[in-house]
Amino acid sequence: MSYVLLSTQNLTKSFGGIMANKGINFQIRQGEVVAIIGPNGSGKTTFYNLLTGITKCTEGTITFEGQNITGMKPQDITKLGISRTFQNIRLFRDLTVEQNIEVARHCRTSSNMWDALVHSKKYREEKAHNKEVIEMAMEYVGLTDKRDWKATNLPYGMQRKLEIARALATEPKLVLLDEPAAGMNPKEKDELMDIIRRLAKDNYSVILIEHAMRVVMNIADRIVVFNYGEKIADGLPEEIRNNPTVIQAYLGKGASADGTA
Amino acid sequence: MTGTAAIAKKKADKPNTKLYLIALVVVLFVCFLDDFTPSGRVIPNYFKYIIVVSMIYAVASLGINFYSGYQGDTSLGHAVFFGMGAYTTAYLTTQFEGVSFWLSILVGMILSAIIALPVAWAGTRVKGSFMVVITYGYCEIFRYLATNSRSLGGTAGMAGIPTPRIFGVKLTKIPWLPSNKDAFILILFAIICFLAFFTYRVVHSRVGYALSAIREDEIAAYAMGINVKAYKRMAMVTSAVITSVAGSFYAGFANVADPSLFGATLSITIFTMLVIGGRRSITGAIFGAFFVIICPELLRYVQDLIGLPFDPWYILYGVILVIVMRYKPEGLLGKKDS
Amino acid sequence: MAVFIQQVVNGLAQGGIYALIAIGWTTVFGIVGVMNWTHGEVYMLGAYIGYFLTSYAGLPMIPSLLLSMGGGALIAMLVDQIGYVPLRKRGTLAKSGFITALGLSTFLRYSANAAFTANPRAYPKLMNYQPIALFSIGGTQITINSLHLIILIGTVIIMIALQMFFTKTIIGKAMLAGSQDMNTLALMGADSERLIKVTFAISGALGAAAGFFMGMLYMIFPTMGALAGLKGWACAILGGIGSITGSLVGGVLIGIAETLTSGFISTGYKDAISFVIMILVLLIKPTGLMGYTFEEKV
Repeated sequence: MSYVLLSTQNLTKSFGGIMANKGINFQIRQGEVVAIIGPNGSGKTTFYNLLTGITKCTEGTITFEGQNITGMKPQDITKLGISRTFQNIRLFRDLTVEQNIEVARHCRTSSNMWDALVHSKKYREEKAHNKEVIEMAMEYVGLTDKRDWKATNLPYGMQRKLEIARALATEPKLVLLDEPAAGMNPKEKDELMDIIRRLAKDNYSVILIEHAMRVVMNIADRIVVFNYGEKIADGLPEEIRNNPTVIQAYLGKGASADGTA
Repeated sequence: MTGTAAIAKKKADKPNTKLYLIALVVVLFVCFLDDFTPSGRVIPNYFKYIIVVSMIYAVASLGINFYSGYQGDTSLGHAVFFGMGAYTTAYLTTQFEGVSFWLSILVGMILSAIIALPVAWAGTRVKGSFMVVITYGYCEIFRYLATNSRSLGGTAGMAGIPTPRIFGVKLTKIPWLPSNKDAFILILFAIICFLAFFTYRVVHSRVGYALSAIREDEIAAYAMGINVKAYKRMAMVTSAVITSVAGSFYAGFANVADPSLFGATLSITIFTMLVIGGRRSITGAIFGAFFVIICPELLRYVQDLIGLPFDPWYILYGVILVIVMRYKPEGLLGKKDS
Repeated sequence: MAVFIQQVVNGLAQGGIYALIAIGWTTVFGIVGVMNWTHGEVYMLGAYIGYFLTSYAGLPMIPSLLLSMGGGALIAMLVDQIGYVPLRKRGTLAKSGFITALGLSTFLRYSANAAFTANPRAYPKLMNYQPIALFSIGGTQITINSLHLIILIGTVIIMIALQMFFTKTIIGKAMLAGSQDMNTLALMGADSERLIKVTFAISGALGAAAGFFMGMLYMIFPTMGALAGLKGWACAILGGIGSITGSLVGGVLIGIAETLTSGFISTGYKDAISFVIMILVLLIKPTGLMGYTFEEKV
């Protein structure tokens, strides 16, 4: 049995008086794909921001590989192996596909200005290794032939994929995807599902915030449901599909979980 | 969306060695032409003076490029580092017997790095647009300090700064050079080439990518494991150190330093040089400096010719800025943003 | 102690002028999102319009003030039309707006320098100025110059009018909302271009009023806008960007700080003190005394 990679205990965040996340206990095992669903404003993205250190939690702890990472700086958390994509795409717009991924290599390299000036051995070795990782990442999401495109010129779906490639290039253990299927056509959604399945097979752990039910139901090992900042359900897709609380909270009375993709 | 237009040109990213070779030929031509013209001066000394001043500002412009170019926040305070370099050189070489110009450059660089720290720290605490007023205020504070300090010569500043020597020979009196400006031209050319090379290499390294990432999207930069605050500070300090070298050369060349070298007017000039030439462009930064220094000189000639009672340069300068921003916001030699 | 209080009183009028500049800056910054660097030049031109009206046309104070406010409003709208409207149409205002402003400000300042010459000028005496006794401390009479008093009253009247405009009129309310979120306001059907025009007009009128009052106090000259513009920012930042009361408080505090600096430290540092205060506020409490915080959505 694989081990618990990340867990949160009583994770809470309040903005002023509003509880964006309330006492969330969550865990993900190594190699697992967990989907987080819930209505808009239910605190899913806040949860990501807490995990990645972009916002500081009010209470609770986050444990990653047995280490308490609560309150750590975002750049250090990335270094430990948590990487993410953004709901409202945050690519480096004026950089090319290749350059966008190269930026992500920052946390795995250490050459400084001096190394760059004299092209030291370390610099050359890092560049060469980066090259391999960048090729791997581009191949993973199928952007190899778009390597010289500026990020901003890519179609929407490809921008989402580039975000995934960029996240992978940080060599993470846990990948957080924030609505990766948003704005994708059905074919792109299929490709996305293939990517996520491959991630799981390659032993990455994936947390996925997604509204597209077809994607969620097809690839998630486990589904967690948020509502008003609280975790209201946690279980296998079939259990969630038939959970009356979830149906009521998330889909409204009388709705069914199928076919909302 | 499709087609070749969307593809970034790889060629544009290569260092433009040919351009620098041409520049070298031009520089040598300018310096040594008079050696081959028996009838005396072909290139007027005043012209060489303008070239030296342009080159000094090109160094400053390459300096601010690290901050306002690659890191992307506007600084209207870079004169503070220019002034720091100039005043350090002025003070050390006039007050202490035997301190060489070259040592004073080094001290100036260190002092500029130190006075850059407070603004660099500020840059990590406030939003980018407020850096405009912080840097502006900061350099003005130094101008007031210099104006009110008796030991720094007050309003008049410091005069009588000795001309730099190399192996004991004054740069203005090197026997095998035809005029007293040529040594400055050659040394500054070497410095500019080095800075261009340095900038090119850094920008295409891990450090440069980190700066680009911060400029484009700070939060995504954090998520890529980039220590945003450290890099912002680094960009400011590096840029300060380079600008300081320009200031030292100014003091050594002009032999005077006055409080306006700290002031906002000079800061704005340094910043707009870069903007007109092209932010994030090495050739643009150099070109911008030459443009901003040479144009008013040409204009002064025209002004005398038609007998204009006022200096039209700043009026025109304002118009140029507006026009460049409207039609070529990336700068005259800048790479086009999307 | 009495000397100290007297200095505080002396700084009040100056502070009111700074506050007027500050509000002109921040209304535009809040709604258009650009640091309108030309504001100092509008202030300077306002002072010159006032100068020509009072000395050449011989108009009395209040009509001259109103006319120069109108002139300032026109100039500010023209700046918007020539400088910012084309950038807004291209969607490059955020990237190029500030440098365009810098260019226009350079243009206006040196055009004025060419047209009016660099020689400082003084307003004619618009009324009989005399010290008015306020109260006494320990036997020393604290006085306020009637000129200062008039400027202070004028400032307060303009501020009250502005506050009423923002809270009572529809367009004023829309402007307040716009300074929070312009996009949403546009989505709700407000005519954002018209709103921006009004914003510039108000900003220009306030700047010109400040210039007029300044002309009543001191000599005017074409480059007077550079320093005053920055001091306006210092007040806005101290008081908290986006708050009218904050700007007034910030302005008065900085005006007082200046007279105290020149009274007790050195006149040489009078102009530097506002920059020191501004930088300290930005570092210690960037929201100022009465500002709000803005958070970026991730």
